[in-house]
Amino acid sequence: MTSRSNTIKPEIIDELSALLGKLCDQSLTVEETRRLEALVMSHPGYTQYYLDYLQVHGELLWDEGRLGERTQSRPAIGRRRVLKVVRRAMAKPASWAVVSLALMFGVFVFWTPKNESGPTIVENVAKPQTSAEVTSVIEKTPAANPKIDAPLVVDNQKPTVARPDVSTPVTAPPMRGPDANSIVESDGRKPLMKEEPGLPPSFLEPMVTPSTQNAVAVVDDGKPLNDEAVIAKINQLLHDEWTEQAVKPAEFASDDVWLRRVTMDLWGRIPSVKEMNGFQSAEGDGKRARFVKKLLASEAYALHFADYWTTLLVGRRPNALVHSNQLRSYLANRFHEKPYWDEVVADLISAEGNPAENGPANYLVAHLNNQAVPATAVTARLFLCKQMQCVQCHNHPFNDSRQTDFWQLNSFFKQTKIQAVTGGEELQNKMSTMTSSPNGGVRLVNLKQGGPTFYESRNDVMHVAFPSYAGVTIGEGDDVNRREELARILQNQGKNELAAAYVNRIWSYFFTYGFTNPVDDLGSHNPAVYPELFQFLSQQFAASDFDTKRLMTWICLSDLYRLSSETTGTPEADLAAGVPVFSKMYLKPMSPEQVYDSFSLMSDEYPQNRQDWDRYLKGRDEWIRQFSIASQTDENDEVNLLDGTVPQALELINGEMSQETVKAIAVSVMRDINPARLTSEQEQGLVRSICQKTLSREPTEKELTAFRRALLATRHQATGTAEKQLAMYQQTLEDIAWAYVNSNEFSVVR
Amino acid sequence: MFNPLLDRRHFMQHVAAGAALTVPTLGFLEHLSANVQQVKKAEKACIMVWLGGGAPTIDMWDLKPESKNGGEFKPIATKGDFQISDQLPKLAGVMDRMSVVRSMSTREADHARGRYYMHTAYVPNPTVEHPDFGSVVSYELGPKRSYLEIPSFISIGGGGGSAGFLGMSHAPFVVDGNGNIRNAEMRNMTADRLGQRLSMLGVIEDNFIRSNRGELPQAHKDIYVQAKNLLTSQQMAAFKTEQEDAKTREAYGNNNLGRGLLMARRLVETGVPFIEVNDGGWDLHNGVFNALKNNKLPPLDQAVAALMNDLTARGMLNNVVVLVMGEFGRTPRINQDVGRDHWASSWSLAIGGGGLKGGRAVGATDKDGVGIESQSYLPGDLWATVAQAMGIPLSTVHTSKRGRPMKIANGGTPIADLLS
Repeated sequence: MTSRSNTIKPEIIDELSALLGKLCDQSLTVEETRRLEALVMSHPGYTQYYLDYLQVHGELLWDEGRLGERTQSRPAIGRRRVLKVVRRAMAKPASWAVVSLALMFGVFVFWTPKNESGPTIVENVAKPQTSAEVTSVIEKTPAANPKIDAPLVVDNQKPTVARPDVSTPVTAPPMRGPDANSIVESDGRKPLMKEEPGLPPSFLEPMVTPSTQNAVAVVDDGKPLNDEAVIAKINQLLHDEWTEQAVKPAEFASDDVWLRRVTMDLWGRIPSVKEMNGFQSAEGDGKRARFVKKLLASEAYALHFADYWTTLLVGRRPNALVHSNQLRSYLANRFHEKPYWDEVVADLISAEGNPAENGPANYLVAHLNNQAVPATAVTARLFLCKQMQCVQCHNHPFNDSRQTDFWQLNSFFKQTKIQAVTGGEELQNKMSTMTSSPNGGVRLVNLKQGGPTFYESRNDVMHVAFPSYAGVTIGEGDDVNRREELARILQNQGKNELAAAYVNRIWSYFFTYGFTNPVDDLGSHNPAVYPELFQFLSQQFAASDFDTKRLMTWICLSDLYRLSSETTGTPEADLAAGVPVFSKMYLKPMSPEQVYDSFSLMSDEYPQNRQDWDRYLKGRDEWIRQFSIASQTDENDEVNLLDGTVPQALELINGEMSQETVKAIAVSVMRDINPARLTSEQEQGLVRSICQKTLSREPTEKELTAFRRALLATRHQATGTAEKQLAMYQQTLEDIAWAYVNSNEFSVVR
Repeated sequence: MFNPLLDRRHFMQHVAAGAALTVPTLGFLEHLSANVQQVKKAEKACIMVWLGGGAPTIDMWDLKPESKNGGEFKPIATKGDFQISDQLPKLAGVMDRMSVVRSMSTREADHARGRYYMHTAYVPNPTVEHPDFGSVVSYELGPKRSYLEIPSFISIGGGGGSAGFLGMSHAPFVVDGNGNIRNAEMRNMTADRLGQRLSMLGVIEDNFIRSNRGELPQAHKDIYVQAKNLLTSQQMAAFKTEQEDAKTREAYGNNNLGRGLLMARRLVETGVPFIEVNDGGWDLHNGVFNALKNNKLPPLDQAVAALMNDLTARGMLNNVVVLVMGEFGRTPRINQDVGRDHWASSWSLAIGGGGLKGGRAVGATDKDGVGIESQSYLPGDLWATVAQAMGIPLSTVHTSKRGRPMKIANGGTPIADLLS
């Protein structure tokens, strides 16, 4: 790409304007049409100009009332609207030029080579629509719109979905089959290769599109299955894909590797030696299922995922207005007792009140600056895995996101303000500069205030956006609680997007890569790998009432999760052109929280009871914050230095936590040992204990030889009092522990 | 020049090879201190001042006093043949040695994407992680400076960034604005004992590296070599700006930006080829003029002017490229909150030193600052210019992990007006 081709020439813009004027006047000749096409396709800037021009034109037509009766609440106008406008005008023959040209460009502009599902525009046009449908305004009562019908019935009440018994969430969903304990595992060294028929074609439909029609289609097939059936289906889909791609999956990992992996993933720390021994001595086919169930039933699980989401939702940096511990505590309670993701999202989006008291309120308090632009972008990114911050300023060049979509979503946050509890002053414009919270704290409130959001397109034209998402536009009156409405839409019309986004993110949590990469950029421009599996899991997750524990059960008991991280082929075969093949387990770096929790476990400081958690987490937050740096943009980004680079290495080589931990390990293995009278077996046992405590495995022969030699040398060289000799021996044990916790093997989840 | 047995890049390998733990003392401390004097002022380097958040360059380098978009500031004459903002009087005095490129057109107006694009010259792509240009410089020039014991890409004051497919050992080494590096001083630890520990570590690490699990295990080992160097190197003194005399410190300014640029100069003198100094807080969606006048511009004016004068006085200017930019500019139009929003299609940056031409305004925008009325430039063109100034051949091609060839600076063309 050269700089020359990037130049937008004013004279071309003039020519474009003239041609577009003629297009809209329907006076374009065939030659001029060709010229226009050539210009528009010659440069993205001209393409954008063309789109903007048509958008404005459509809006002007609308404003002039030339398109028929106004409805009471006007829908926002964007590209899709323009096309509808154009379609309506098709009754007049002269309009055909406009329509065909618009469609032609639509196809060119929005076509990407890998997108086999085709552009949305064409689909829309292919379906004959009556003019009544085209102009009907989707009001918040879905019954008014014949297209949004069963199976998802929306009403103004909270959805009444039968929830499983909260006290035993994993075991008692209403439609369950056999208990998770009875799930059959493949017990050989290799995944079972099954020959099963392919999927019905309906699974192949694209999952994630913002259009209302597609949004409801998916659940038709997604009859909830029991855990055993879901896992069997996951395995079948994996094996089908491996067979189709001629991929040889890695062998199953050993028990100790699997145990360390699943404990790290679900509890956020390495397993203790006791947990390791307990698992290894367990018998029977269902021991993995039993272990996963035990992990998921624990508060440690809930707290670990509360950590994970707290970091995503409000970051790790201190913020004067944000009480991240409150948010974490709310999330931990939810994940422990009522692990239904859609409800968590609804709570986060609709929360009000003082963030020091109401955990979920912290989410929006962290992102409400700058006209809620960050709140809009982060909501789309985290809950829908959509990158919308770009369409804040312009339509998306590669998918069908429009600038209007951004501002329509933004409009849901328009009533939301942060006020000082004392005095009621509005604070969000000051947020980036506040170093302390005002006396009495703040609260998140909904003002009784209606009206749309105004925004500008790139050509300086002011536009208006009404609160609308997934094809549902809500009323704009003062009495409508917009955030509650948004939560309701996400739980109903947006249900499949919400499920797919969560599944994609959690998949990437367990397997390093999502079905799409980046994980939070779903859309037709970014095709998913394993699309059938992605769709199946998303359907089942939605059908399970968004039960996060069940989703994790399915994932952790799948064949893929058992695969070794050792490749059987080449690294290139595991990641073909950067795209994950999922033929083995990819190594994951530990998060800062996982590092801290694992060190705490090794030094016996990991909390055993819930009441000890608060103090423990305070210490951990302080430790982690030393490594966080704010990016100082309006999007509240931050950088954490514990990312596997030099600062983390220095902390583990030389930091206080690391020094104390290796000391504690040495002391604990020395208990009841008299180094003056050590047998050779006992000395081997010391090395073995350290290795088990740190790497959850037996030492290799090479390690045993080398470290025993070092211990032997220390015993020979040690002089002075018995106490001093003991201290020197302990130092060597510390060195061994240091080497293990500083190793590459320790630093990853494998 | 250096003892090949103790070359830092091979230290760990040697340690690992001698797995029998009989290398209690390697004497690397003595070796390292012997090299401290081999400071190379004449080496090429680049100091990038990163205006994080996106600076309103229309109020700094390309004023439009006649336009409705003009804002509150007036243009003033400089020592170059163009005008800049009246809020930058000290910089006006060094503009004979700096130029302004007024026709950057970079299309990514989201912070993360814009940051990525400006740092790497590539737009984000899900299948490749491109290296920051600082990592490219580290990769190209770092290994040639065997005396250099500290990382060859240093980022002062945060910012992050990535070495992408060039590997974690070329990632930016991030220090805070005061040059503090946590845990970089050995506590209760002799060099002997560290040596013993590292040799034990070698026993465990190599086994895992050989087990065929991708790149992370080797990258971890490379990082540890760097970390060990930091613990033992005398070159760490480069981070200590308090060793400068009071007058110099005062000239740069007693704030993070001033200290950061002073530190950058010291790092250049130590041989570090690429230093990024992060100055955040430019995301001025509201109250842009007050923020610029009272907070943002005075320290920038002072620090960058001081750096230019200092480099000149020390005879280093012809070897050191100084670059001042952020991820994009800001909208010519002033919004309802007297702010400016994100704007990538027509903006300016300042560049000087390294033998590049000073005193010129390259490219031009239209009367309202909205469109470009000259050739426009991409980040690749900018980095190609810097590569040329630093003596890195433009024919350099790196290969991504998947074997894809990647031209340096995305195949950009050096900006001719800055070269001759």
